[in-house]
Amino acid sequence: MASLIIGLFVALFIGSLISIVVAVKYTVAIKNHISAVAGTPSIPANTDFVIHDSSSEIESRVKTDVLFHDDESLDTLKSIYEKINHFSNLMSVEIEAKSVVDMLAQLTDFATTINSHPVVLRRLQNAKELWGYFVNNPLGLPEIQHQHTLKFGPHLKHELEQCSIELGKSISSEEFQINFLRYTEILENWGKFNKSWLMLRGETEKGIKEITDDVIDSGDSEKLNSQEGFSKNWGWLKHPVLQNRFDLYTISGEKRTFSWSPWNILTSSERFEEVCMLVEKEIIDKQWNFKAVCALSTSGFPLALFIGKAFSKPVIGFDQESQTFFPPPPNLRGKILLVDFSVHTGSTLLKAITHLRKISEDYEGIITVCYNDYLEKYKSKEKIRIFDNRKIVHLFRMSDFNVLPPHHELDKTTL
Amino acid sequence: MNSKEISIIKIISWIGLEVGIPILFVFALWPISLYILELEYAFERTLSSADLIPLGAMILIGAGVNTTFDEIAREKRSIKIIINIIGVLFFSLFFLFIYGFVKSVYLTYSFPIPPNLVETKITYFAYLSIACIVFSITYSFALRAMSFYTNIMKR
Repeated sequence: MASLIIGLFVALFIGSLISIVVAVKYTVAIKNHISAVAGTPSIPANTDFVIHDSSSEIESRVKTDVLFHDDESLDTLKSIYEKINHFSNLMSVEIEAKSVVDMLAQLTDFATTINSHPVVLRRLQNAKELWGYFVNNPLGLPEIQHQHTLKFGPHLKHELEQCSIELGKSISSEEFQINFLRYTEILENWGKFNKSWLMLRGETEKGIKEITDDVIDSGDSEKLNSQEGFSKNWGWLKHPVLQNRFDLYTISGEKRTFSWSPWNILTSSERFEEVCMLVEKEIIDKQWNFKAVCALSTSGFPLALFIGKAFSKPVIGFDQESQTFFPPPPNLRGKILLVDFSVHTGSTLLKAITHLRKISEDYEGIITVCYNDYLEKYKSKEKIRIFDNRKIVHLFRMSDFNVLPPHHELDKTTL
Repeated sequence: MNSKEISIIKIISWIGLEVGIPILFVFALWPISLYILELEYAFERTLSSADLIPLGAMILIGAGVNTTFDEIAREKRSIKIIINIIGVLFFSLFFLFIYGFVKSVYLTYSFPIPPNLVETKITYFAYLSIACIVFSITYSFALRAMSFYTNIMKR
C-alpha cells in the first residue's frame, strides 16, 4: 500500500507541476492583456484623431527635414501606415501632439495600439461608416499639409475643393512621395469639384522646372522656361487627362500650350481612350488576375488610375528615387500589375522589377506605353521580348522578364 | 467598478476565503499540537487524518462549478475548458474516494501509534494530503485562469 501511496503522491506532484505551468502561462497572458488594455487610449466611436503640431517654427522641419527627409522617420511612417492599413474600416486618424517628436510617438503608439489590442479594434469596427477610407483608397498615406498638421487622405479633399493645392517645391524628387500622392489625388478628384484649373506654385525656379518636367515628362524644360512672360514661381495647370493639350498659364493669365511627348498622346482624349481600351482588352483577354495596379511614374498614373477604376483595384506608386513602392502594396504576396507611360519606362521598369524581385516575385504583369523609337530600342534588347507589337500599347508579362539574369543591367542610356 | 476590479476581487476572495482560511485552520493545528499541546508526532497527528483531502475536493468542485457557469454564459464553448471541468470533477470524486480510504485506515489505528508505523503509512498519509491540496489549488487556479482569459478574449 505504501508504494500505491507513493505512486499517487508522485502523480499528484507531476499534476501539480503541470497545473502550475498552465496557471503561470494564463496568469501572464491575463496580466499582459490587462496592462495592454490599461495602456490603451480611450477611443470613443465616431472620433477622429488628428496629429497636430501647432508650433509654426517647426513647420519647415515637419514638411521637409523630420518626416520626409529623415529615412528613419519615413520608415516609421511607412510602418505605421502598414499597421493602420490592416484596419479596413479605418478612415481618419487625428492625434494632437505638442511637438513633432510627440506627434510621431503618438502616431506610433496609436498604430501599435490598434494593431495589437482587440478591444480598440472592436471599437474601430463599431464605427464603420467613419472608418472606411483606407481600404478604398490605398493612397491614404499620412499627409503633411502646410498647416503643419499631419493628416490622412480625406482632409486633402478640402483643399482640392478650394483648388489651391500647393505642389510647388515639393514636386522635387526629394519629396516625390508627397507629390505623387497629391498629384494622383488631384487626378482622382478633379472631376468631383468641377474645377478646370489647378494652381501650381514653385518656390524656386528649380521647383517650377521640376514641376513642369514631371508633369509633362518631356525632358525639355529649358524650352518651357524660356517662354516669354512665364513666371518662375507660378503656373496654372489644366487638367492633363481631359484636355487635348497640356496648357500652362502664367500668373498673369498668359497661356502656354505644350503638346510634348508622351502627354500629347495621353492628353488626347481619343488616343487615351484608345490606349485604355487596348489595355483593358489585353487584361481581360489574358485573364490577368492582379490585386493592385502600380504606376511606375507620374505619367503612368492616369493609365494606372483607369485600370484601377475599371477593375476596382487599388492603385499604388513607385518612387524612382528610393525605388520603393508607396504606399506599401496592400499585400506583398498579392499580384501587382505594373503600368507606365513614359519614355523612361525601360529603366524605371527594370528598377521596379529588380526591387519587386527582392520583396516578392509574385506580380502579374507589366503594361508599358511608349513611342515607336523606344520600342525599337526595346527590341534591340533581344532578351526582352515584346509581347504585343501594336503601335502604342505594349504588354509584358513577368515570365518574359524571367529570361533576364537576376542582376542583369541594361544600358539605361539606350532605354 | 470595472471588470478588472471585479476580477481582482474575485481572485482575492477565492484565494483568501475559499482556499486560504480553511487550509490555514487545518495547518494551524500542527504548530498548536507541537508547541502548545506538546504532542509527539504532531505533524502526523494533524495531517494524517486526511482532512486536507476533502478540502482539496471542495476546492476542485468549486472551481468546476464556477467555470461551468462561465462556460454557460459564454456564447462560444471552449472544448479545452470543458475537458478540464470534467477533469476537476473527476479528481474531486477521486479525492473523496481516497479520503474515505485513508480515513478508514487511519481510524483502525489506536494511539499511541507505534514508531515503525509512524515512519511508514501514517506519514505517507500526511504527505498525500499535502500533495492533494497542492494539486487541487494549482489545478483549480489553472482552470480559473484559463476560463478568465478565455472570457476576456472573447468578450
